[in-house]
Amino acid sequence: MLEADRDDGRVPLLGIAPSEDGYVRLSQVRMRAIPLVHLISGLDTDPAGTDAGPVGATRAAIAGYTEWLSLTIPALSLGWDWTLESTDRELRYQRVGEPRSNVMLLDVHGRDLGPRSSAVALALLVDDFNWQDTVANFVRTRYS
Amino acid sequence: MRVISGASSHLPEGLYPRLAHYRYQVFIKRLGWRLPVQEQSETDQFDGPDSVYVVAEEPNGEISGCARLLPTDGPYLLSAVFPELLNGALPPHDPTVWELSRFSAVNLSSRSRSALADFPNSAAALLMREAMACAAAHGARRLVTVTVLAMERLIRRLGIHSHRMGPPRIVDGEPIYGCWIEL
Repeated sequence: MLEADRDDGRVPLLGIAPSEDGYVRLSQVRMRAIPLVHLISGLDTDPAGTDAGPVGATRAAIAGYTEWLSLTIPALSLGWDWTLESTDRELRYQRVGEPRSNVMLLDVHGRDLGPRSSAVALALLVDDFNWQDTVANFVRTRYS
Repeated sequence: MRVISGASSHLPEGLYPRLAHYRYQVFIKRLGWRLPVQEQSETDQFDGPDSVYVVAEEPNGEISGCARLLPTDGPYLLSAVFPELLNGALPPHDPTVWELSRFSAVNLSSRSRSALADFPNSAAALLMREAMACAAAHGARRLVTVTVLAMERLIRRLGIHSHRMGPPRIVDGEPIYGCWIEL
């Protein structure tokens, strides 16, 4: 929910400021109404450090990260890891792990969901929009 | 690997110059950071009497990791150099909030390119825990840090409660972040 235009293109989120602990707190409904724009994506140079690393039995051949933000004041930041999976002769970007963020989502009573539940809810939000095409285009251009 | 910590004046004799040379090897030579250099030593304006160092040393005496801790009630990297990473918040100025910087767990003699290869028992994980314990022993309850993607992932995988301050800044094509770490 965006409130007013500013000269720099970013809009203030009325009633929301970074908390003393650094989180930006808002409800899930409000979070879902705020558009996220792509900042950067890249391939991993150190796949051992990713959530797709050697913990499991397999490692993706291609893995990377992507960063998105809101054009708001304060800005919301979400970044997550991905792997390029091959399924049914089709390549598909798949989120790996939960997003890293500055957002603490609130429940209907305005209480913190907590770091874990908030991250899970943000992961569902990520899965509900099409980021894959943007990342694919960016990565293709960046590394071509 | 043993870990030594303390202010520069309290480190064993000769360790601080070797630490400065190790930082030169890691941050200047290997990572290509554009930082002040003097005679193959990397130090900056935040290396002062209030800085506390955490140094990992191998049995043969080689340094294999380091971290620098600074209380935020004095000058520190995030507030002075990267204030935009605060996402509009005021920089902390609090003796219980310390800054973690110059973190490295690179063993320059190792053939492994990844400091996280044998996570969670990697040198990086051990050094991070030591740095957090050292900061807590000096009265810190929270840390701030300017960090890169690999570090943000490491902190996450260690199960440490941390979160970023806002969107990253892109430096040399790679994102850097401001992060809070709860002790």
